[in-house]
Amino acid sequence: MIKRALNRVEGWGRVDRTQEIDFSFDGQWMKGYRGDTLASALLSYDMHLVGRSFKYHRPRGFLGVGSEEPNGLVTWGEGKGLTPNTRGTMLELSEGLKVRSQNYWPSLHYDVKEGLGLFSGLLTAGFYYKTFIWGWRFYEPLIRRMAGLGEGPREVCERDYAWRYCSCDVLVIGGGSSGTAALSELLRGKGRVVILDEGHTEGGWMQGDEGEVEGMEGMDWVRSVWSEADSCDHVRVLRRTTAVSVYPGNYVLAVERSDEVGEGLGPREVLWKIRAKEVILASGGLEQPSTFVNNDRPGVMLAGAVRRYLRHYGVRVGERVCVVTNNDDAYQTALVMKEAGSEVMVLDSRYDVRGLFSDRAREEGIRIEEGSYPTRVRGRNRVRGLGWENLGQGGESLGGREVGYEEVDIVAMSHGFTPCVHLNCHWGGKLKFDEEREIFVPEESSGERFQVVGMAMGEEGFAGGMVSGREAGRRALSRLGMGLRGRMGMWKVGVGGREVEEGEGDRRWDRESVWFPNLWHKPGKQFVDFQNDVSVRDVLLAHAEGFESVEHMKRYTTLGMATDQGKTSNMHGLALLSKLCGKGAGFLGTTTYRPPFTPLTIGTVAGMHRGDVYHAVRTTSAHSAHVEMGAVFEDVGDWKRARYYTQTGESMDAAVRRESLGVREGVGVMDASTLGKIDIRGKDSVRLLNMLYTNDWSGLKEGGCRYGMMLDEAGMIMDDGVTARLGVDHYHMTTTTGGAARVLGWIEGWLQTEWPDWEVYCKSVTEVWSVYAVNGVHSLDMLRDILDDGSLAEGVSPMRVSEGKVGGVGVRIFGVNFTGGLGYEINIPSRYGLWLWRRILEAGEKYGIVPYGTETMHLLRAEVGYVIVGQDVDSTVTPYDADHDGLVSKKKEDFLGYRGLKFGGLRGSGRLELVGLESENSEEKLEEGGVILSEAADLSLLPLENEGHVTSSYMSPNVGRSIAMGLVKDGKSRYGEEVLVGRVGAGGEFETTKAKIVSRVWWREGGL
Amino acid sequence: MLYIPCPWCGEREELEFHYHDEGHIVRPDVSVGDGEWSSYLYERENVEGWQRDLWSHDAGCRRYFYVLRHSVTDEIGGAYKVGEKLPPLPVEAEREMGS
Amino acid sequence: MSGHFSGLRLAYESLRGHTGWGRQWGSSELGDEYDVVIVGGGGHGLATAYYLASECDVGRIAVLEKGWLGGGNTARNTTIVRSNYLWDKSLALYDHAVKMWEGLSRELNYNVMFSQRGVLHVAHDEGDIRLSRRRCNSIRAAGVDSEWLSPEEVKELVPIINLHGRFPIMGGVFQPRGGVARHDAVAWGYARAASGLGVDIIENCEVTGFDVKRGKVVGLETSRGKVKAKKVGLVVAGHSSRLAELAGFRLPLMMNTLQALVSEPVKPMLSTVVMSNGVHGYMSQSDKGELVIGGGTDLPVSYSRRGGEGWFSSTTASIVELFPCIRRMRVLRMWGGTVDVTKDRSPILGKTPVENLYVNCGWGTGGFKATPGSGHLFAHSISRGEMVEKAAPFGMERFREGCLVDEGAASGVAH
Repeated sequence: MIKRALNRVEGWGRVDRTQEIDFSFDGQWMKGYRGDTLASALLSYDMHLVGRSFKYHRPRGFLGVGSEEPNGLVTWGEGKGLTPNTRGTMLELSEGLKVRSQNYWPSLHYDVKEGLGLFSGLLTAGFYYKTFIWGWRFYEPLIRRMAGLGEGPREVCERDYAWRYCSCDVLVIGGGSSGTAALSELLRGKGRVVILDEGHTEGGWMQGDEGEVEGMEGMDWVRSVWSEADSCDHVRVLRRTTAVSVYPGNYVLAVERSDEVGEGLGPREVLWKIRAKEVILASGGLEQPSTFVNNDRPGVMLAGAVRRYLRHYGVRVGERVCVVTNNDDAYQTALVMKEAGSEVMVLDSRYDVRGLFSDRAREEGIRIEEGSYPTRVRGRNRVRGLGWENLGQGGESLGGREVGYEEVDIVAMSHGFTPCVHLNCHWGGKLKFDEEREIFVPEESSGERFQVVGMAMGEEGFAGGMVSGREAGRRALSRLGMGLRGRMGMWKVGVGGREVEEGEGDRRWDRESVWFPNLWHKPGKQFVDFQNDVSVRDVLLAHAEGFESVEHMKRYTTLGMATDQGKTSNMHGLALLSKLCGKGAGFLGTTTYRPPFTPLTIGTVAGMHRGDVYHAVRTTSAHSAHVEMGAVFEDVGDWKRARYYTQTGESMDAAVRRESLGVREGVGVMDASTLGKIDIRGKDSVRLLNMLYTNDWSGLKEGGCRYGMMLDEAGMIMDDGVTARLGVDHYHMTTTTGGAARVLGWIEGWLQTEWPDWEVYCKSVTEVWSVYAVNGVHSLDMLRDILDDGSLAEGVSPMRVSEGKVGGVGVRIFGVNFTGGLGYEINIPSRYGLWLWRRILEAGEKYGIVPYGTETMHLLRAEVGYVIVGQDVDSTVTPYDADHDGLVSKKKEDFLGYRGLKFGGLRGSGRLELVGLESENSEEKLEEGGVILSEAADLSLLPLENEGHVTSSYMSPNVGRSIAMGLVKDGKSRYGEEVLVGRVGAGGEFETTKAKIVSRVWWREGGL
Repeated sequence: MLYIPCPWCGEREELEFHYHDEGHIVRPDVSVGDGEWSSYLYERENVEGWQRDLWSHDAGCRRYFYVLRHSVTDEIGGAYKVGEKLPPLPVEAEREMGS
Repeated sequence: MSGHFSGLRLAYESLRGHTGWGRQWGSSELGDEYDVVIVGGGGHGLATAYYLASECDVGRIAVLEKGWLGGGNTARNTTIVRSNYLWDKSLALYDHAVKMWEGLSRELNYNVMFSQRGVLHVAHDEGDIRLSRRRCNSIRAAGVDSEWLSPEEVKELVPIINLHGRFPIMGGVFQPRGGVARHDAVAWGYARAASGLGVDIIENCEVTGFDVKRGKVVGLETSRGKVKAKKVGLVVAGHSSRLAELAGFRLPLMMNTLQALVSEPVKPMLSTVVMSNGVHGYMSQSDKGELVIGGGTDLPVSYSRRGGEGWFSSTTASIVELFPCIRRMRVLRMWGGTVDVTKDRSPILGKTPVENLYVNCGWGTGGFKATPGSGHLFAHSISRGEMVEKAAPFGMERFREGCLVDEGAASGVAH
């Protein structure tokens, strides 16, 4: 039982020990401090075992200290706040936080599935391709159950996720020493600066490293610069913010964990969308682990992380530490752990070790075993001890015999670093392989206004990193025309009490090439990718099976495909593969770096686009009246249109029956405001109309209206509508509701690119006018009643437009209707729309006026054979197919679609043609979408030949039976023929009904 | 997100614009054969490199114009108006294609 | 080489420390001459080579791949398999493939992990319902499986779906025989089987020119030397326009970037594939536990394989509307590929103006599902010198004749 945080040491760390925080892990309550992460708090209780690995369920502990962490994934929160797969190293403590470990059964300490390790021989990389060949469907559920890291959430997160847009002159990504150095120069300039760092405190590697800048201790210097930035009004400081993706043109997406764990009202995360003139990437380097048997045991950690836990969090992770290294930098860890009271030794794979930190370590009497490399770790749930072998002078294996062993509880390993280059590569920046240092670095010439500095650029030294940062800041300002005056003075930079100059004595990462000396060690696993449980042997297998490109190896072994995206595994993977191919470590190149840099909350990407604001809802002016009247709405694109009105709970069929009888026999009104309307003016208006439509518009007089059909250049019907001539060079075009924007775009495209010298101007006026369709025998009577000057109603005749006033407001009355009977459409400026709707209903009361919706509208127009573009015709139907031969002008020599209509394949038989259909049983409504089959079709002989489909179908009380329209093969020459209409019935069987091909006009004014 | 330099409004984010087609596609005379008409409708250059696009600034001035864009690297090399003399394509620097 | 695959063999080899496995496919040098050269080592190209070798009597066959095998769209797709298209001709084409998927693992002796978990297309408004019912009925009439589900039945099948979002779900069309498969395995499985039958597979070999004499292709120029060929099949998807240009003709294609993304892996929460044309997005869950999310293409002609941010936010927002509980999960990785799109969203399979040069392209966003069928039909067509019946409607001539097979209206997000 854990009682005290024994690993928390006095005199170390920068967390605020006056602010205690209670949290629980797997049900046990513990204490941490404000500023702790879950990892630092657990480690303060010496809790290293925190999870189980993906495939083999091996016990795992924290490897690192930041976002590179592959092992320590936990689930926190409950219910709506359940969040799985969170890195404990990035999870800030907050009061009452409840955390659970993942991926085991029944308990973390005794996981039954660890037994899978016994079968690990079978479960090598790609084993599932070689087996389960018969009966995959039986094995698949098992595999699926075994996969997945944590349980997915089932409840819906209620927190907000916001987007914020930002543009700036210079964006600095990364708040370590180089990033802060760049910032310090930028603070002296005038440009708008944004700096971001993924930690909740700035500093990066400085949190764990030694260093002095101008006499100040490293972190003190960092904090002083950042606090100056905090109060500087041209700098935006973003802590807890990870840059996840960079697009060409310096467009950067970054996620700020503004209130990740809390329940506050503010957004949980903010997605910053930053457009920067200049970018400075200071993302630092990723320390790499070493490969040896059981290098995944809890207690085996990265050396840089070990000292950062001590210096920054005040947590000494263990009592007996063995540092495993091939470079000088890791000696910092040895020195500092010894100072904090641990016993320390070092295994260095090099001979004649010399360096800033290793010299000091030797002076302090720390035991250093040169030319040594670990063989295997002992211990299972925690490191118990480490054995080692000797290497040759060139780093080669001498046979692998274990020559030493020590009991330790921490192995702090460091196999060098690799520049963290992801963000450089996202937008297309290139990498080159530095043969000498065996690292991939960004190519200098990569980006014009994208600079990479510090460790990310391969700059190893502390002093060198600062200089590169400062120079980049100055360069950026100068390119922006805001250059700083004077030369850049060199700072006094110290490491270990000694002043260092750029390039001198500061090559702490200098190392020798030591890759996999113990390649052939068996038994035991040497892990390369910790999260996906990929070992050296898996890579050997991939190579043996011919997977020789890095992408193949990655996909076959899944190395680098886990949530850490290979930050601590890619380099080893490709170095090994290169070595197996007999080449140098960088020979094969890298896999493609893809965003996001770290896993990115889906809600953050979606932002506020959810619920009510997911997508715009468009409503007409009279919407509230429709709601009052019991309208049931349907979605037509973005619009809400009244589908039918019901006030007594009647069904849709009953409502439609009532409405459609009411319209024909009395009068009805429908809100048609959603139809597209385009105002066209200019002396070339007719020329435009003649190109847009298939028919001839030259003879249309002022005050006249005409129906027109538009084709695309392939000859297919695209849209239709009535266009009226309002004046000499003034037209009012209507389009379908769904086609409004598309048609305007179509027109603008032609006018601006093909006919730019034409004098004609178009404007969308869809929202300017409210439109009400009034239809039925009493429609004109009503018009007389509502017009200020009732006599004007006499002037309303079919296909004429006239003007008048209602209540003093100017209206336009178009003598057009979609019902084939008596009727018109009255247009009023939409701010009066609601008022006019009410006025119409009021005036119509004595005639028993019926408001009707889109369903009735569809029925009524079908009765007279009118076509709905998008329903009866789509992009595969020509005017000839739709039986509108008369609409295609024989005089015009060109219009859009004219040439398309002449394609050879559009002539001849076999075309689907629009005709009417009557079901044999007049009470039976054919299904819209029903498939047309030959009368003689034999249902037992599939496939049947598809001869078309039903496009519209209704029960018509006016006609007294069901009516339908359909596209039928050669329909125009088959009137009177019988066909079958097939559909998948309610019970799932395929059933058919007989129907006859008829004319699609059933109703005319004056009766049937 | 691309940063498109509208010749009237200046540089704006891609989401304000709409891409239409390859630029400078000329509508042939209607007397051409089926082959040529279908080429006009369906065949495109699909250049791997610098090309001339037709865009419109739908959320702004709503004008159509041409953009020089590199179809592999997403670099933008400028924009010009309909009717203007065609600026030359930017020089193709030494580069490796794709990944 | 790799030998026979089975559970027993796996157990045997594990006892030997897995040292007994050999290469899955041979690595060859470019020969001087072949009877058939397939340009393009993706799923379709490798499948073509396999069926040429196993079912047709054509002689020596080579596959030339510019990069690493299966590294194009085969490596980048969202792995959906289905055949529920609109037109009879499409149904015949795609269902030919689905029937082959059903026996593919056995045929290749490689587990391609074909999971027939069904594919559901949800409908959001009256127009959607009409179109969906039309598809449902047409598909059934053509002898392919298709069911209509009510909203309640949709919810039962997909418990995490939200029926009442901004665009409510009013039903759906379901194809039980559809599902997902493992994309890499398909490429590797075909490569191994083809290699085992003597096909030369040459990676890192880019075609730089065609040798055409009197209108007939007689050979190719490559980065690894010249090679003679009696017949050539081009199966290069996003590179089709460039190769066509080298051969002297143009294709009716548009190259767009298609993006996709995966989430972090979680335990099973989605047991079928859900697609929505209305909100332009779809989702499935891989066997590894990752949610695989896709949508439509970016618009500009592009080879960047990267795509824009607009797609990312709008597709994600749409998917979150359908499945609100995933809001708190995380995106693990996103990527893009170059798809070759035709105006009618149907592929191009057929002859070209150059004699003995055949082309197989234009699958756009929906090529993976057709892999075995495409390879099979293309192989037999090349061998015969004439397009076989199911492939015949898809030649590039259809654009000239005006006989498009327009799946665009019905497919929306065609995957």
